[in-house]
Amino acid sequence: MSPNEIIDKLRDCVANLDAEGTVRAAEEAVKAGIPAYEAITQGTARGMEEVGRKYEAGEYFLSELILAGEAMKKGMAILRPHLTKGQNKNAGEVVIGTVRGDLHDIGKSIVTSLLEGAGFEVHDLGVDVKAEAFLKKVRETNAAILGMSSLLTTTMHEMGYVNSALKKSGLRNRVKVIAGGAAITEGFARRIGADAYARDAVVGAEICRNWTQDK
Amino acid sequence: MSWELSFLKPSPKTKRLIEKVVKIRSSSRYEKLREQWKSSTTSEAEDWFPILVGFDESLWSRVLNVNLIEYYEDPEKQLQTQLMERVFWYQNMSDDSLPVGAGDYGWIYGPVGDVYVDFGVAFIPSLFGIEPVYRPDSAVWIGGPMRGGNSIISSVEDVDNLNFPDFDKDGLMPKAYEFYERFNKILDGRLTVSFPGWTRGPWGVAINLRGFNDLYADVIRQPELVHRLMNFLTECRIRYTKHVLNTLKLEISKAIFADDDINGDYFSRKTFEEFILPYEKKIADFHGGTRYYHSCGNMSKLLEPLMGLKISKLDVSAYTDLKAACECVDRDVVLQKRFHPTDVLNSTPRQIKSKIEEALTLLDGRRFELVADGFGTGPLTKIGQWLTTAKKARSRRV
Repeated sequence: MSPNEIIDKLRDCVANLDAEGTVRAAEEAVKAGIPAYEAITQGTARGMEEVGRKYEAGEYFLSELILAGEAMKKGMAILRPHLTKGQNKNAGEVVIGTVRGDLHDIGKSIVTSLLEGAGFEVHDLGVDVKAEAFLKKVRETNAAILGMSSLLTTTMHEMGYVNSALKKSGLRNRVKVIAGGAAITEGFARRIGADAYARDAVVGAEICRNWTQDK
Repeated sequence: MSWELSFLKPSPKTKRLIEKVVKIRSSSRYEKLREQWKSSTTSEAEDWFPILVGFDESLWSRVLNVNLIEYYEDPEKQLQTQLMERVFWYQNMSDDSLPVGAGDYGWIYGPVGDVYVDFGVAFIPSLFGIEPVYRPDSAVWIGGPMRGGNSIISSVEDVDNLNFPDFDKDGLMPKAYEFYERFNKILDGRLTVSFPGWTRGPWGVAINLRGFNDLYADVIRQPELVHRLMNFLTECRIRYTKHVLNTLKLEISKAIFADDDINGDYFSRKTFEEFILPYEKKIADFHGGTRYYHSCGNMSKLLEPLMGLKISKLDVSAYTDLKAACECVDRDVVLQKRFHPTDVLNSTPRQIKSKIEEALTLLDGRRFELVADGFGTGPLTKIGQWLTTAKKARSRRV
């Protein structure tokens, strides 16, 4: 199989939710001496883009997103160790969590797996995350994006509090803030000073990708 | 009198609250409201439509200064809190809810108690060994795979090995009977009490048991597991209902489905029709129809197949296309148009008015209700503003 065919196979396996095929194609890419960076950017990442397109078109739903995320992760586990020093960087780092008082995990976890699939290093702080914990993680990492989720009207105001805390601590200029979750509307996200509102997981991941590509 | 018996006696505060609520129940305002509800549900579409507002547990906890851990742990505290809610509502909220004395009318059709034993969404998963997660200022939540724990199910064989719960001994069941008995003893027939019904659909409970990501992956990877789990949970719900009706000597009424996990943004109509609807239909058939179907999700593309459940009242969530609902839902179904709480809290009076008017235009000629609920936070003035605007819009129609 030619290098181009292997890369196409990688792309198609991710797009077709075939985790085992992705693993085999990734191994073939390594064996064939295809630069890992190329296999990722032209293969697996393109596969995820295709998944995103199909989701937007209503052909794919959450089941497909979850399986594609798994396939991508498995492929990355094989390819990543072969990235050369200069290339061994992620699409970017993201700190993500469900805000204090809120135990809903699902939407945030789907965004996490999509971001990981897109090559981001994601620092998932879990649920019920205090503002101080968000700040601490932003300080500790090179994160350029902070994602917050809230499913409850009780807890959504916590997002505004986190944003203010970021400003007070001088970290706000370092990160773009994206807000999502069932309690949130676009107007609310704007009002609390978030840079973007994610109406769903795919849109959220897409916005993060666009931000890092713009840099 | 023994110490134990005096311990079980309701506190003077509870007694005072019962007196108040009994009075409220038979107040002329609620009598009139009951009549309005009755005529709105028995006659053809008319100008009066109910306007409803609701708080969630965290807002109640703040408004009444109640620790919700105590609410879920102590039967008298739970009863007291619900009585305080009824009094607060009567004194402060002028919507068309009938928190007491609703009987067969109000938010949902069918027999509804003045107070109810409440373990929230944690009750049904607890029957399968999933621990509730209590917090002082918000509703009880579900542990297990929903909080990153491992699922006890990973294969078809695991599902086949599941046992039906013991509906006397498992999970929160003994506590539910204890609360029910205690409520009834304290109230002594002066107010009615509802026992927790199994209202969640099998899909939502399947997610709690298997875990969200895993169940969604199973739809493609292990469809047989999904079918068997859904079948098992459907059978569990039917058995539960039979057991409770038999134990408490109650009559069966039409089904209620309250399942926020039913969401057309998450799965296709095909998936819904293959993996979810047949099981909900089996439950609806067992009950002789569905009196109320609720999901906070986007139901737009699921409305048509949903009609197979013989629904009397359908929640049209903030994410569901109201126009689509008006077009494809049978005309004898009452549409409960729900507004997004954040939208209500963050909109200007003009925006609120325009959204209400827009909904009324679409709903014209149908039987419907306008609802703004799920408020976990205030300000209450903003909620009041929505209520006033909706009422003004109604008065223009009458």
